[in-house]
Amino acid sequence: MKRLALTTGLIVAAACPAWADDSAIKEQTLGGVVPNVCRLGAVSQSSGDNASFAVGGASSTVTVTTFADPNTAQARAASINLGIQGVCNRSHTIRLLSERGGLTLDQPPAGATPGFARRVDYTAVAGWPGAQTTLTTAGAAGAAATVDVSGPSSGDLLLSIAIPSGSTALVAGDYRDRLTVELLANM
Amino acid sequence: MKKLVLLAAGAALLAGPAFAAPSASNDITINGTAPQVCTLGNPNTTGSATNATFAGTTVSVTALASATDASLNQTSVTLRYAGMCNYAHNVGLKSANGGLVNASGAANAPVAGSGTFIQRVGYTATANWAGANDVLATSNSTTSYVAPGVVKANWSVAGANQGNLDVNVAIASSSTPVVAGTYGDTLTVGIGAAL
Repeated sequence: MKRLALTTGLIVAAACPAWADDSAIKEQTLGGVVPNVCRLGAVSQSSGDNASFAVGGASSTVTVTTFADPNTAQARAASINLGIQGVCNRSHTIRLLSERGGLTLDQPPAGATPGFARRVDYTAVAGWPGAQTTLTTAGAAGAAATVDVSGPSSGDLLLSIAIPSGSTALVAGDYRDRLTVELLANM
Repeated sequence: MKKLVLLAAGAALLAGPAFAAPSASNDITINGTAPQVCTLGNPNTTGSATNATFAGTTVSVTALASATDASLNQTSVTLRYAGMCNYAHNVGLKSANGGLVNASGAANAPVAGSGTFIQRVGYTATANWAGANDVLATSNSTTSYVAPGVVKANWSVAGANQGNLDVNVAIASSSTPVVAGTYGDTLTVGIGAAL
């Protein structure tokens, strides 16, 4: 019974605070949203062998210096290492996408060319803090390689492109592919 | 017996004052206590706001970070409260989180080896009252998304004051990208007892 009386007294005291007006407070909520952002910036070359690099805007160009051996017409090995400044402020995916599935002729001959190659495959490796993915072309247009990154990341995305030497003479002509590097925010 | 009679006569003299005074006075003390009272009205914005709006009790940062490169945008807004305190009092500012904290911080921590990100957004709240300024400062964090907890700033005012209490909330810009997410904090403004 004594305990019950004490409890009642506390309730009364809380309901009628004698000090209520000697202070005044206001609470404000502060808030803001940071959007999902993935960005790739300037591209730079760190090293290369039998290849050069020209900076463009959203599109840059790697040119193989000696694409085919002048005596055998076989593809020569080439490689280049590029750095692309990037940032993604949430979990994201890195994707490498080959438009043609390898280096192919801009203007292929109409007929068959037995004994000659018309395509030169290559590998592209994208290295990024916490992730790496490799694309190896094999003729399939739109070939892609992806890797998920489970958090924000920033820094230089290291892109290594390597063309192995070939053993089959190439059909003469200009060879080309478009390799797209993407950082895609995961929703 | 003779002594007893003498005492009775003395008592009779006191009961009937044969010598009335020409005037009379009586002091009456009047007491009253004015309680210690402080009031704060609901705030409104004053001056021009940069990258922020205010409605009800919420300051909303319009674009906390750039949609292009996630860099932290500069923000400033000033809230004005009509205030009164009738005694020597304190003015206080209190941040519940110690900065603007990302609601999804744990799920969005930068990967190991990554470059730097702002994971918690700092701001300043500067109160102007009774001719003096007081600043509550919280800092950006590039190492942790975790709320450091309550941060307070209190200062005393020597007497009563009535007027406008202006509180400027400001975020400094930074080129460092900010982790994506919804950030928030509760800022308490008070006059009277220290927060």
